[in-house]
Amino acid sequence: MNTLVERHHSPLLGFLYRLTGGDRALAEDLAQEAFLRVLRSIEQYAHPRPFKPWLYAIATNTARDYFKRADTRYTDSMAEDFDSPADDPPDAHLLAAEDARQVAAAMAALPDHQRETVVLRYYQDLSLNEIAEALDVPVGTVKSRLSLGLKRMREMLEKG
Amino acid sequence: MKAEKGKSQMPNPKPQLEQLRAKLIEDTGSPLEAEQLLSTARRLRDWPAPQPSAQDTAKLLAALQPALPARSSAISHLLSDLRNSWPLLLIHSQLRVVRAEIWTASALVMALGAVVTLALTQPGTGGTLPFVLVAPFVAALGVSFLYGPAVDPALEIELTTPVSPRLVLLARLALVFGFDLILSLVASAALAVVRPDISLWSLVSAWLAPMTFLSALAFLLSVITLDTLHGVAVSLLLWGYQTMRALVPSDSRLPLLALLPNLLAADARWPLFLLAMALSAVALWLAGREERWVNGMAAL
Repeated sequence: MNTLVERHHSPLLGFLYRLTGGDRALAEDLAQEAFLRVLRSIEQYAHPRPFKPWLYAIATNTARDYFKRADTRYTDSMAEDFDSPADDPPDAHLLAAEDARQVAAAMAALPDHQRETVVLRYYQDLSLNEIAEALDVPVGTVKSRLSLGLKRMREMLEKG
Repeated sequence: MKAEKGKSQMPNPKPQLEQLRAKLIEDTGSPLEAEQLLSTARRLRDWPAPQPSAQDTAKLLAALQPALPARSSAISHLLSDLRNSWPLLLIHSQLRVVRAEIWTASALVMALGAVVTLALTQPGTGGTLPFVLVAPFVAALGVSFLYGPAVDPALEIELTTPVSPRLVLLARLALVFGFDLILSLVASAALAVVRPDISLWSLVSAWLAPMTFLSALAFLLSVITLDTLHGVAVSLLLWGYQTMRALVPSDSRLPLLALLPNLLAADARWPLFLLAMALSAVALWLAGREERWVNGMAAL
């Protein structure tokens, strides 16, 4: 279990951080809940099925359940006051924070299913097949969500 | 030196850009569209995620600790796997389907057989022990009640399940025959303890082959005829004859009895085992043919 947590803690936290619109505390809580769910259902994991899609399916469902309970979208509060992880000098920090804020805002504008797909693909580096398995949708659907999501983000970022 | 070190740690942007372009082409299916989205995809990297420290991970592990299952031994792991294996789950599911009377009746008759053996036979007198005659008949009767629409109230539901009728029947056979086998072994062990002149091995050898054969025969008959009664009747006739043959002195027997084989003889054991396996295989093959059920149901 230690190896599993050590290997996947950082990518899972990053995934949930972006799904929650940059709320680190919430991402940490959800990461813990996701690992708990992994522990409880580890017997259902069918080896040698790839582990990553299974883990991200659990993490995505954990986030969805949280927001369903909280009766809010993933990113209702994002882009205004998300936690910036940078430790750079003040000027660079301000610029980077502004860029990050714009990307976060563009991400916030995406529908939940497009955001999950874009984050899994462009931040977690999952293959199309792995994303299809994690989200339980066909590969064609993954591709169309990515294409639509990125186009929408481009429009948002161009508007500034 | 420091600058060189810093330089070597910087990711080379060109291959990264090519990788990103290839990824976009794969996602969109169009190089043109990929090119249009490239700058957007590059900007995604502007939003970094926090990296958990070693303390964060240690804190997480500590929080997960109470939910970790207790480290189980290899044996308990094996037992757990065995409990969750599908053959055992299937057999367990059939416990509720097999008629409850079979368990009680089998246990009572076996116990009665053991008591009669103790009461009616004396040490050193020889001959066939009553228990050897009782055990195969009890098992055959139990097995006769395993098959057929008349004895299976849940048949129509079972026919719609993904488990084949053959496997369901095999599970029931294993359950009832296994139960009778254990009962017989326990009774034999009890007899061997109470009566030191009875050898456990000899006693078990005497009833095991006839029990297997008679059960397989009753099973096959109930499958062929779709009627429990046929299996019971033939078992009764065949075992009645064997009982007479065992109890009536050879000089007083009817000539007809001498013509039929002695199923309790030591040299009949292996042929009986082989025959039992063949009969069971035929019965299971027949039972798996779905049209039999449909025709059988229609005839009822």
